[in-house]
Amino acid sequence: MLIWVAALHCEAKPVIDFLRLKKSHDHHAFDLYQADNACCIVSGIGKLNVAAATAWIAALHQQSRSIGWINIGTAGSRSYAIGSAWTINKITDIESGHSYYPVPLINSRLPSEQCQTHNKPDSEYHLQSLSDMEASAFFATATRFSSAELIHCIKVVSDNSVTPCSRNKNEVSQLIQQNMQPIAEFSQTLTALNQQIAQMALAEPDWQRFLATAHFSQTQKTQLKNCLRFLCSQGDSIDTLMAMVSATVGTNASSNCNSQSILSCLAQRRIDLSRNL
Amino acid sequence: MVSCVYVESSIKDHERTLRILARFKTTPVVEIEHHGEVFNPSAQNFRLQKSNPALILAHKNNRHALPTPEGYGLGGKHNYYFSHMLNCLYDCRYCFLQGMYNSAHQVIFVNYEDFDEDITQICAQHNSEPVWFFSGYDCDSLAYEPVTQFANFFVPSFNKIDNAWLELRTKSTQVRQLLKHQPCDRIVTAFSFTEQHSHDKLEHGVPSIEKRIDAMRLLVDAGWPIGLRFDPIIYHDNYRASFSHLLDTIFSTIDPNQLHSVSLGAFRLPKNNFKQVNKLYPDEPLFAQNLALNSGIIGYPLEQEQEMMRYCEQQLLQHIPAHCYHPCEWHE
Repeated sequence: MLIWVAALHCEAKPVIDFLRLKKSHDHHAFDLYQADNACCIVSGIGKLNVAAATAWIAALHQQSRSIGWINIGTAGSRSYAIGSAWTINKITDIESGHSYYPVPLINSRLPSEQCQTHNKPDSEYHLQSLSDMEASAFFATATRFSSAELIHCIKVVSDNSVTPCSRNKNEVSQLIQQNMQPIAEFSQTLTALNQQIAQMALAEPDWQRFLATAHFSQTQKTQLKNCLRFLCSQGDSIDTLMAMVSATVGTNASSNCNSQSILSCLAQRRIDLSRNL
Repeated sequence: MVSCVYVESSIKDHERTLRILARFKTTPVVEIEHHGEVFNPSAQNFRLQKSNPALILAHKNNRHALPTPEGYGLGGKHNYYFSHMLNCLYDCRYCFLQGMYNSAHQVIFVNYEDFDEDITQICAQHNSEPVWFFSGYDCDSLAYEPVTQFANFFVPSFNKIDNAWLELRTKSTQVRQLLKHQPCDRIVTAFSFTEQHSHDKLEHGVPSIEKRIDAMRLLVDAGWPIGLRFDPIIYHDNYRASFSHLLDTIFSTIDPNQLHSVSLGAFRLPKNNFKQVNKLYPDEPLFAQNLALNSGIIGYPLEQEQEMMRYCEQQLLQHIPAHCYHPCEWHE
């Protein structure tokens, strides 16, 4: 799942249009637009709003195997051209003084720059940094749910020391819209990274099926998960493994005995498949 | 390929920093206060980062050289390790560094002079007794030599301390800088090898066995002492034949009488490191093998390990003189 977080609807619109996301009518806390493997949430301006929206949408997708994140929005700059798009490699929260470092894993056409997050609009503009009002809170919140490599900010310069911030929503959308091609490429690479992580996780319904076969202690659950993740990575299907487990359960009486038998059976298959690396 | 260079503010104008940055002119540079800001946060995925790590240039404030863990060494009485780098260029699946740090970024501590000062002091404390320093504990000593110039700095520095011994441990072929210096009997370049099948499966990015043997030979020909480290030995159905073949390959080029030291150890990881790397690489067959916990270490069941070690030791001693053999012992 790739989640886009934008402060304003006009900042979200190019993403919604590009990905053909549909507005969700099931939720009312925030405006949410969805497709099968992506969604875009409109948080409102500022750190509190973006933190709330990020946490809320993460909770909504708690069954996702892995979540990738992009905070898309506009920013101010002293020297960069209006309409130029940037990925962020350092976020400094001006009020707390704390810095965050998105991990620059993605080779992108978008150049990278630092960003300062303020509580109020910044009219002074820092020499070597963009200015926004959400990035620090977004990043700090999203790292509660995903690892930093999967959390990125993309900012398009909307105002600088010469040109003040536009109040025209269409103009703001247009600034992001004109960068949608490299932004989409960036998101595709992020999606691929996210899938690497997702592939290593068991789907929650599958995991629950295995757990229901016997009573497992906490240690046994870890062992079971390790076995299943390895065997699935080697090409065993969940149904094949479930059939193996069911056959084992059928021959034993007590639940405690079942859990040990299941683990022994899967562990043996794991050893057989790994002996030659 | 380096995705980004982070530079601590305190060393941004350091001569070594500037020289390293000159090699990465098109790479984004981000200034940081302390390398821990980037290196230590827990919400990081080592596996993802390893595909495209960043470089962190930092200053090491204290504890430049530390006593080695129990059992680490080559029979010397005084053993220390020091790390001018954290993390390795290569991606060996059995390596404990994967479970050691949250980040796969490579940290280079640029204040070599402070390391040198501590090493000099430690050697002075031990009067004229030999003191061993191991530099390949948290990184490969030579793999990043073109960037770090580590050997280029420390070879002259060790050369001038009469009781200081240095082990450079490597899987690289980066011997060019060493060859520019006069050989020193107290600086041993130890090459790590696993047999071909394990190399193919587990040592991602490591130069071929043949190329490393060529590098060893260049050092031997120039009069440098070298060592061999067969650690870890990894089980598979054909490990015996494959290990014997590795020995034959090495000793068809290298004269065993010119070896300073040889060590041997079976695959093992501290329990907590194992848990961490198994979580990172749930699809890795090495971690799915028949392994057991023994004295806080995950490794092969004792009987199997002893059998493996016995076989490899026996094969090894057919090639090398016994006095230079140092088994890696960690069992009580």
